[in-house]
Amino acid sequence: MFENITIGQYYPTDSFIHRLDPRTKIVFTAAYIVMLFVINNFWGYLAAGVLLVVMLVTSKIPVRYVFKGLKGIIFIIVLTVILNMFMTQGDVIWSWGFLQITKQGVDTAVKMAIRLVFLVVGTSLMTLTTSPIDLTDGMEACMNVMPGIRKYAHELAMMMSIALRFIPTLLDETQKIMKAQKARGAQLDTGGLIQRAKALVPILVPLFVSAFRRADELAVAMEARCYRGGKGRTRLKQLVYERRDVITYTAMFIMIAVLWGSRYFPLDVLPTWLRG
Amino acid sequence: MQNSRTTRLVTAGVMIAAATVLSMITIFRLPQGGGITAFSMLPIILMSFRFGPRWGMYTGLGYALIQIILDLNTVMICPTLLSQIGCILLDYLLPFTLLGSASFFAQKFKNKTLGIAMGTGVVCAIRFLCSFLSGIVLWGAYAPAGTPVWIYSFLYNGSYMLPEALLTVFGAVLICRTAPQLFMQKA
Repeated sequence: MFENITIGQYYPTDSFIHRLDPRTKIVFTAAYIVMLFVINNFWGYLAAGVLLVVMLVTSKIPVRYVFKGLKGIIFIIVLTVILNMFMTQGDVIWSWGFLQITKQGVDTAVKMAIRLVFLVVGTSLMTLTTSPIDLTDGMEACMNVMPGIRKYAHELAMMMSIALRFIPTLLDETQKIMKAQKARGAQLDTGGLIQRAKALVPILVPLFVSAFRRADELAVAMEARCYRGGKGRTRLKQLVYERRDVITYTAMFIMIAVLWGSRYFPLDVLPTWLRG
Repeated sequence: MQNSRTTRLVTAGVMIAAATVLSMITIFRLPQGGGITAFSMLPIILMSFRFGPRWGMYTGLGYALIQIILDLNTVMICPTLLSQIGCILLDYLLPFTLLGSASFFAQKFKNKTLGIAMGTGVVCAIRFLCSFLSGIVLWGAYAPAGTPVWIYSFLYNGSYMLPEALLTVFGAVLICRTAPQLFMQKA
């Protein structure tokens, strides 16, 4: 039941992007996503693609890892392309029965597919180079500057850090309980829906009981060390901006300028089929 | 001590972990993704009954954020910026947060088991409603030509949400029968 389980996508290695501050990566990725919706012609897609390749190379992540993430969504990309190709009205370039492909349809389909791949690879780069815990730290820092949700930032982040820390523990525990119940003759993989669901109850109850116990113990341990919320709390790993973060922010502003500017780059130097 | 804010906070974290672990066990898997998980909504609902709807919803919000972090690719396949924001709201933040309001709906019933069953049923219905809406608004383009979008969304989401909801209610009642102390209010 637990084959091929990974928590998040994190690929641990040492690279420029791995060492960046999580805040920098979150802001950069958000800017990249927004810019992907701003660009509208060949030049823009070319620039965004080149940037993506540069980031991929810098991150030192094997290409097959990145594409493994794409495998799950290839179906939806193909579906989007087909739908756009056949459903868009415009100048017909091919038709067979009620099916027709239009010039505008091909144009939208290609742009849509490229954008989807860039979106997924771009955000994968963030999750591949940042561990979920670091991501949570970065999210807390980002929430801290937003008025309104600031007062929940620490507690939400603490909740999520505890959750991430306990996922492997509880996974392990669930497996142990399952084995224990199987040893007592429980049949978990056979029978209809209702039978399988019923068979899971003897696993759920011990799991919840032990989870509540663990939570109580952790709470006692935290209060014994005088934990009393986020106010005035210091951290073991303080997030500090370094030179590489300044470089990345500079790169981000250059990226925004170039991608925005790409809307006004001349198109008539391109061959006709690329001008759409 | 037993009821301190720290206890609630930590329990919320551990329950989110339990929900994530349970969501990895699928009883039946559907071909188009989406499947019936082993009661992955129960920890949030349990939290709601133990510490009240406010903490339940807080836990649900945390669970939604964890799901987004672990599953960013699914959000990214929405074709426009607006639909991505819609997807985050309708597919994650709203349904999971509202899961935590189960005990609010259960208050109306005197019989405890009935209350738990109804509360769980109502929040499952809310979750279905959110997915149903997102199916119409965001994923409508994927409906086969000729099928009205709302029927497509109803069938697609209903196909796995209905059994999941029934199972969750069933599981909640079974657990309430065998181990009622898990639902005991600690507020």
